[in-house]
Amino acid sequence: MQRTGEVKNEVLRGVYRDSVELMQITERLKTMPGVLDAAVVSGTDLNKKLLREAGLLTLEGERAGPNDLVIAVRALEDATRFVGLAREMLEGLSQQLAGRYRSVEDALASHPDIRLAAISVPGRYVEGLARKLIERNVNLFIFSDHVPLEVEIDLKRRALERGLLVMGPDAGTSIVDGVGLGFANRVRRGPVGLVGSTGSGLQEVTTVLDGMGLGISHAIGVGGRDLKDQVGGIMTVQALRMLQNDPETEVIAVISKSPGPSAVSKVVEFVRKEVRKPVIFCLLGLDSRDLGGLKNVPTLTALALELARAMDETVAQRQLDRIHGFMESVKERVKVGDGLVRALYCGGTLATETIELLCAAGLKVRSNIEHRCAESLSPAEAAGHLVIDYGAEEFTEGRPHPIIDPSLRNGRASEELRRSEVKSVIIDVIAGTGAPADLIERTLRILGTDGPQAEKLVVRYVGTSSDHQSSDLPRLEKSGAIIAPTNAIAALTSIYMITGQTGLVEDLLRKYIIVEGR
Amino acid sequence: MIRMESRKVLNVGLRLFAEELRRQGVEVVEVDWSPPPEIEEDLKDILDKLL
Repeated sequence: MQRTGEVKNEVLRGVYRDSVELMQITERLKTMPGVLDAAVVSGTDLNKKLLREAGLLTLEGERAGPNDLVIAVRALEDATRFVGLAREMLEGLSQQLAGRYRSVEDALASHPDIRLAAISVPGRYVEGLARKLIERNVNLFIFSDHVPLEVEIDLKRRALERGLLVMGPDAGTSIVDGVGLGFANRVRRGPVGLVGSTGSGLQEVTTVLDGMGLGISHAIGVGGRDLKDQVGGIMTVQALRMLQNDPETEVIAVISKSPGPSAVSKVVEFVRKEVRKPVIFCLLGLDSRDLGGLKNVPTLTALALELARAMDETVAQRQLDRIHGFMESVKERVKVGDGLVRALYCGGTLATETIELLCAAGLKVRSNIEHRCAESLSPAEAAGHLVIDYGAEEFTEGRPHPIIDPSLRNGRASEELRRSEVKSVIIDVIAGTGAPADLIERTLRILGTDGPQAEKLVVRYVGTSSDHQSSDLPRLEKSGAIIAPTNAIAALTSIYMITGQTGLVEDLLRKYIIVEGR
Repeated sequence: MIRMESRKVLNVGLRLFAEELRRQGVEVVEVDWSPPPEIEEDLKDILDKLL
């Protein structure tokens, strides 16, 4: 591609600003008249690759390391001036730091009553910070990924000895006593307690419950790897213990994607012996759904329905009626055509759920998520039915998570919608804390101005009427895109769009949503 | 269970999360974190050869 303008890089050695602040400066630069393209990023290999692909990397920038910042600008003329403006913006950020503590020790000395800390520094720096905090009896929410597994195990064991909770590493979401940590939606309070080694799974279930009028006591995200066999569900069990003792919690759900069988056995054994409240599992990606008599449902939608049944059968029935009504409307409005599905996700658990449903429909799926029924792919590939998780570690080194900055995912969605062989594109649009205020506007930009491809776009909007982004939702509804009530229903919608098989979709509804013979 | 009566959270890392907590009425205690300085790669190479 022919690129115009002049490119200038400047490397700031050993300067650190968090990836979200850098994204905000990048966005401000890009809107300046005369700037053709710009990026202010840390010099990780991934970021340098993206700069190179965008034609924004010079020899100067090539020399940046992961602890340096790169300011890269392509401008019509005088790129150096814009680089200088970016530097000034970075200096401005430093001046806003007044009032912040210089160390964890200083902060705790002034605030000895702190019981909870949220950590979101790059993964390789988590261990030292987390150990200090655990020694001071502080519970942790660790958003950071790229934390070595052995560090996770060590931190969780140390915390357990002190009766503490370590949510994470790689915890996307928790709602503790009404306070949302990481990515969380504004949901009503109520009797449902959740434990999840998943962020988007918790967001999906809590928002679907909220839509049914049901509330939650706590939603405890224990980190994506807690139910791997090496970790053994240490914090899943700890969270279950807390929910068993919590007077507000009446019914409990455990959610996970691709858990290890021995970790699952430990959790099941604990539930049998110690938990006296109803517990419903949704363990996606497990070879067998048999948990020795405990309830294990196949989708997050089925879980929300089962939790509703435990509270009030009529609420569950109303939701089922709504789902049936939606599927009827799909049959009336979508254009069925033989072609491909491209499912592009910010939430990994939602991606996993969609893989399972596409596979159940007999479709051959390729994904960057390891899954027993998906072939692996490199994310740039574009052949066959694809499910891509943009929150996977290969996309987040030195970059904000796609819930914060969905631009990479949205760009891909826009490309896929314009391919004639692609008949259905699924995306998750995740609202709530951490998500951009103009979330819906950004989603609409995927469609561009040449409207007809909106009918190929299936959206699962993960949000509640109380999330601040939701006030723009009517604009998305008017765009012509299909807004599915849950993620599993989004997947079934896509399956119908490319097969037109009513019988197949009804069969999947029975087995994966309504859950026959429960 | 963790009770949030004090509604106070220590935030180390993304400022965005501190802002989101404040928006929920939580008192946020922030640490100005930056990575510890690292020895330059080439200096490390020299040290490796010497040791």
